[in-house]
Order: sequence, then structure tokens, then C-alpha cells
Amino acid sequence: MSIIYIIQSLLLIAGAPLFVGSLRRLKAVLRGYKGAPVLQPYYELMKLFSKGRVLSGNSSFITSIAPAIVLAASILLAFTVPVAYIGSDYGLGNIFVIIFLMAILKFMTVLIGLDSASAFGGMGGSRELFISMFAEPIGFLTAAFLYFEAGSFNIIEITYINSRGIAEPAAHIMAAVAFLLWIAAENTRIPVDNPETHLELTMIHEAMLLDLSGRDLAYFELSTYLKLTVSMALFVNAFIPFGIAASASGSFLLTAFVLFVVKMLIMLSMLAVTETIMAKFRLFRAPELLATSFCFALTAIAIVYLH
Amino acid sequence: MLSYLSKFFMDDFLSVFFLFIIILIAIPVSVYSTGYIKKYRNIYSGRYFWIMFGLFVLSMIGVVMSSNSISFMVFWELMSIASFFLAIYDHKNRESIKPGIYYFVLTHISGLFLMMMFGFIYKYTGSIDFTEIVHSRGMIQEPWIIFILALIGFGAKAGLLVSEGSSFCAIHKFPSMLSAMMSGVMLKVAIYGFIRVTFFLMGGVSWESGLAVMLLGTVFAIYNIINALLQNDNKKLLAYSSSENIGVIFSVIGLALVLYDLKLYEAAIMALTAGLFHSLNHGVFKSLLFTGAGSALFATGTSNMNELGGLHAKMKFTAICVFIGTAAISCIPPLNGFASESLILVSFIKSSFLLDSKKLFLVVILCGCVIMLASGAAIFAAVKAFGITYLGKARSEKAVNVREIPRSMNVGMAMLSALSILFGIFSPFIVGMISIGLSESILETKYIVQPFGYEITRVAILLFGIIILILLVSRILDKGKKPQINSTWGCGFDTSKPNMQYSGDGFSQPVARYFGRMAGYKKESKVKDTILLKQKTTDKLENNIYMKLIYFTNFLAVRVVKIHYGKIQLYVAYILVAVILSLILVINFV
Repeated sequence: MSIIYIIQSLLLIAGAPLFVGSLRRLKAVLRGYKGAPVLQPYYELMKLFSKGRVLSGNSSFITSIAPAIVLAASILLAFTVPVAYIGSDYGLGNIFVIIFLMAILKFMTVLIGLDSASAFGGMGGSRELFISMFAEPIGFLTAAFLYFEAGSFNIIEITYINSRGIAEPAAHIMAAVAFLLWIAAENTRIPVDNPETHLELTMIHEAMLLDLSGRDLAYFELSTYLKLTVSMALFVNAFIPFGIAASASGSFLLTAFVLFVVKMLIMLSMLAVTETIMAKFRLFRAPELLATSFCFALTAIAIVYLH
Repeated sequence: MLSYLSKFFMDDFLSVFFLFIIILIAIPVSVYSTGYIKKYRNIYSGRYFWIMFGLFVLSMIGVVMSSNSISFMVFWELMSIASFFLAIYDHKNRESIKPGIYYFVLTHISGLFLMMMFGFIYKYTGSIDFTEIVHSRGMIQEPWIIFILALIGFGAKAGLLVSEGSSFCAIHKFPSMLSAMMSGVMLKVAIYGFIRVTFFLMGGVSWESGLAVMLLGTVFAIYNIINALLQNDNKKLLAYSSSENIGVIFSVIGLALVLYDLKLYEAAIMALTAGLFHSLNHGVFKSLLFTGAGSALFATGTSNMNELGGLHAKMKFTAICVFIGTAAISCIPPLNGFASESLILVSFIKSSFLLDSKKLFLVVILCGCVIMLASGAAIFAAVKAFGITYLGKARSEKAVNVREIPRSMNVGMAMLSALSILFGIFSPFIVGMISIGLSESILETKYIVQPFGYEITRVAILLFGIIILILLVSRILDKGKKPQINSTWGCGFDTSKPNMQYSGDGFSQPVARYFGRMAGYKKESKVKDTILLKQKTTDKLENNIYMKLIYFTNFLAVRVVKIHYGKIQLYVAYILVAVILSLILVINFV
């Protein structure tokens, strides 16, 4: 693995809170108020790191190891996804590994929810697993679609081949829509869950973290930011990878990096607009949304197969 | 001497691989049993248990090593009988007698079908020796009869056609070490038989038959995992989940049969490798989870998760082992469940791309989707079993007064946990070995299946490295700050009670609402002085098909029994009629 590859992944990790901060800011602007500064997530993390930890009396070894495992998995996730440069070494980045690394986060978060013996945690965990159960087939179909397109399961290879041109634009767009809905479900964003509230009616992800504090919470927050950013980067690289640098020359790298930032900004504004104009779906309607996404993915695969 | 012996033993890759599974899992489970048996110390004989256990393991080894159909059947029956006697080991407990007898009948029905199957094979090839059958398999006509008999015989034993959690094969009611052995090993012996007959003796079956296996496996996988998810009994949940995994394995074997018939050999070897590797991994993590459920049962006297909770405090070591098992069954990288599950999914995708037929393509892709859905539900079920039982607060007195676990039980579980981790991290090597062995023995060429390269090993090393790094950083951050222990935050509500936690029922409620019908889920609520909520699930398959079959057989038996009038003259008359009839038959047809 080359140095550039490592540096870009580190940049992705460092930029994740910034991404979430700008998302929040943009949403605030769209709703007509000023909003917190873009760097607010960094301040929040710093505050959490400086605070002491309060543990629940019922908590087990899960609470002591889960934050570290979750953060480690999300940092590793950042290294599996290319940003602006694709090297020739395909050592990491299998799609199934990425999907199941995201499952580590989900798995540990649900266990954290059950660990503190609170009703909220159990509720959040139950809902999270329920939704992600329906999201699994879409992940499978997207992986199948990308394999059909590029003949590989490696995200770096897929990025490289898709950046050369796309054979079936219609199918590509359909699969992209399906994958976006998958990202919304996996990251518990709006239409599936509202990440801003702490009301029991809406909460899935936040409900499980209620009993964490201090650096434990900071680890979890950071990994949530990372998961969202990496999902977005995955989408950008798998579905709109044009302009990515295949060689390490300076000008290519610069344009690729600028293009990446622009693409991420577009994604971010799309996300912000959706989250502003839409309300969250009822829990039992969320599978219907995912079923729609499933149909999109299946159609996309059928089109690719027929050609 | 050795060459003489090898006439009686199969020594090809398939047999050796399954021998490896049996021995690998039997050792930790027997270590575990030395502790678990103390539960019965003053009631039953320990020697009886060990003789039967040894016989059980030896007969399974006999099945996978036997080189002709007669010895196969003899060992097969021996295995059934030994497991039956182990199943009713706790015979003073009336509850364990009935499932034991049901199991005995079921396993003999399976044996009957297998005998008929070997009979048909003998009819066409004139041989009972496996290597001779392979040479003369071209003479087999009507292979579909043999195939259907094999599917019913092995499928019933493997828990494909009859769910492990239903009352016909209620392995959750048997002693826990036997549940672990049966789910982890004996079901795999049935899978061995199926692969041996379809791939080796018959040399593949038509792709329609393969498709039938694939669809059957997929349908049973999703059916069983929904049933598992709605159970509140830890062991019953695991029993259903075993059937789910068997469904997945059969599904991928069916895929391999389809591909093999369509002459896509490399993809077929990949699918078969995935099936075999998943058999090994399922054996490891399921026996780990069953021994864990056994430990909880040993310590508290109940396996109903709604009465447990908070066991992590008093059974820390068990909790950690079960946590590893749960992570493995939930396909968490880099553990072994992930290694084989992802291989199965990859082989579905890769092979669907190779198929020419559009319909077949669609079926294969949709089967892959259903298996992925089932794996999502499996995460749900596994998290439910672990989270409700071990985490949180104790829900009843039973979970507070915990009996101490003997060290040998923990040792057995630790061995299985270590295997679970090792088979995950070193999976590329094992997968490579399995695929080479299979392709050399089936096709006499060499294919190496390695869809991920060594990525899993790399991910494992990186993940552990980063975790250690983060733990070190945390230690520095925590310096001088002691964590404050406080009660759980209850939104300003301070008198939190254990039964305010989520229960097992509550945790799987969303799924009950969506898929409840598949598991016969019924909810009843009464409002009298207090609100009383009753929920129950029933096995649909058992009630709607198998029970009706039993009633029908009963009905026939009652009619037939009338000819037993009890008078000797009548019986003599029967004999006379029979002799005349057989004479007529002989004269007419010979």
C-alpha cells in the first residue's frame, strides 16, 4: 500500500466530523436558522474526551470493549475505501468485507443498548436489527451488480473500471438509487430514522447510546461520523468515480481530490435537502421503502445481465 | 496390511474432511461433558453415559469412513441408537422421554429411505462397494428415484425437512452436550451422506434436481430462522437456527449440483467448498453456543431467556465465550461464520453470472437474496439469545442464585471459541485446502478457490492491531480518571425494575408482526385486574403436515388392527390364504 493511499484515508478520517458538521450547518440554513459552526463536531468530541466516564452499574465487559472495537472497525473501514487515488495494490477493499465490517458497528451498538438494562436500549436495538435485516438483501444485490459491471468484488478495481465508462447508464442509475436507500437504512438517517431527536418515538441509533458518556461516547460518535462518510465515499467511488487518479502524478491527484470534495458536497446537499423536506417513515413502513429499493436493484441487475 | 485395511475404509478427501470435523468437535464437547455430567451425578450412571458417548462418536466415524453401503447402514443405525440412548439419558424427567421416542422413530424412517436408496443403487449397479459403484454408475437408470430417496433420507436426518426445534426432532430437550454433538456433528454426517451419494456415487444429478435442493434449502432456511427468532427458549432458538444453517448448506450444495450438471466445474467446486466450509464452521460455533446455553441451564436451571438476564456478572468466562460464538454466527469478521457465509454469497453471485438461462439466473440471484435476508435474521436471533440472557439485569431469582460452573466446562468452551477465531483468521488456507481436495477427488484436476485472497487474514491483523492501539490510547486518556459507577439512566424515573428491560418477546416483536404467520405466532391479551399478555408460537410445518400424516397413519393402523382377532383358527386361515396367493403369484409371474 502506497503512502498516498494511507494519507488519503487519514484525511478521510480527519474530515469525517467536518462532513457531518457541514451537513448539520446546511440543514440549519435550509430550515432558515443560523446553525452551529461547521467545526462543532470537533468541539463536541474534544469536550467528550475531556469528560470523565459514568458507567451503568449493570454494564458488563461489553461496555468496556465495544467502544474500542467499534472505533477500530470504522477506522479500518476508512482504509478500505479509496478517496482520490487508486493504487495498484488490491490488498483491501472487498465489498463483502466492507459490508460486514459495517455489521460489526451494528452488532456492537445493539449489544451496548442491551448492556445497560434500560428499556430504551433494547427498543433501539430491536428496531435497528429489524431494519438492517431488510437492508441485507439490498447490500447483496448491490455487490452482485457491481460484480456484474466490473467483474470484481474489490472496490478499488470497481472504481477503476467504472471510471473508464459505464455500459448501462439506466441500470447504473437504478442501482445507485437502491444503494442510496441502503446507505440511509444502514446509517439510520431520514426516511428510516431521524438522527437528531432523542424522543423514543423516533430513535433507533441514539437510543442505544443513552448510557454512554465521556470517551466511550466520543468513540461511538466518531465512528458514526466515519460510517456515514465512508458510506458516502463508497457510493461516490462505486457509482460516480469519474476523474479519479490512477497514477500518482501531482496534477491528476489534485483534480481527483477536488472532484472528490465536490462530489461529496453534492451528496451532502442531496442528503440535507432530503432530510429537510421529508419526514421519517413509520417503523413498520420502512420495510416497504426498502422493498422499493430492492426492486430497483433487481431491475438494475436484470438489465445488466440481459446485455 | 494397510492396503488390506483400506478396502474397508474410504480414504478420499471427503471422508477425511468429515472425520476431521467429528474429531475436532468431539474433543472439546467431551471435555465439556466431564463437567456437565456432574449435574446428573447422584441420579444416573456416568459410565453408561461415557459408553454411549464413545459409541456415538465411533459410529459417526464409522459412517464417514465406511466404504460400502452395508457397513454404512450398520454404522448409521448404530449412530441413531447411541444418540437415542443419550437422548433419554435424563429419563426420570418425563419431558425428555417423548421427544426421544419421536426422534427414534424419525431417524428410523430416515434409515428406511436410505436402505431403499442403497437397494436401488444395488439394483442398477449390482454392487455395494462405493468404489465399484463409482465405476459402474453409468448403468444407473432413473436416477431421480435414488435422488429423491437420498433427499428424504438424509434431509430428514439433517434437519432440513424436519426442523430441529419441532417436537419430532427436539434436540433442545436433550442433555446439552448431546444437543451440541447432534447439531454440531451428527447433522454434518447426514450432509456427508448426501454429498457422497449425489456427487460421488451418482456422479451428479440433473440440474432440475439440483435446483429443487437449492429452493428447498432456501425456503427452509428462512422458515427456520423466523421460527428461531420468535423463540424464548435459548436452546430451542439454537435448534431452529441449526436447521437454518443446514438449509443454507443444502442450498449451496444444490447450487453446486446445478452447476456441476451444466458443466461449470470451477463454480461448482467453489459452491461445494463453501458448503463444506460452512459445515465445519457451523459445527464449531453451534456447538459452542449449545454448550453455552447448557452452561446457563446448568447454572440457573432454566433456559427460558425471559427468566434470565445479567448472567455476565457471575459467569463472566462463559459470557465471553458465548459472545465469541454469537459474533461468529452473526458473520462478524474476522470470525469463521463470516468466512463461510461470505464465501456462500460470493459463490451465488459468481455462479449466477455464468448461467446462460435467464430463468435460472433469476432464481439463483433471488435465492442469494433470501439467504442474505436469513443471515440478517440470524444476527437478530443470535443477538437476542446472547443479549437477553447474559446482559442487563437478572429478571428472576433463578438468574441471581447461580450455581458455580465446573472448570472443565469452561475449558471445553474456550477450545471451541479458539477454533472459531482461528478458522476465521486462517480461512483462506482452509478454503484453499478444501477446494484442492474436492477438485482432485471429483474432477481429477486442481482448482483453488480463493475469492478474497488473503484479505480476511489481513483484515484480522489490522483490526486487532487497531483495537490494541485504541485500548492503549484509552488507557492514557483515562489516566487519573476513575469511571464513576451509577445507575442506568431512566429518563428521570428512578425506580427501575428488572422487568422494565426489553424481554425476549419484546425484542423480536417487530419481526413477529411482519413474519408471525410463518411461525404460527399468536398474541392474546386479557384485561381483568391487570393486563395479561399471552404469546405463543407453533411450528406450522409440524402441525399442518407431519401431524396430519401421523393421524392418517394412526387411522390406517386402527383399521388394520381389526384383523388381529385373537383366535388361532383365524390366523391359520390367514396363512392358508397367504400360501394360496403366493402360489398364484409364483405360477403367474415366474
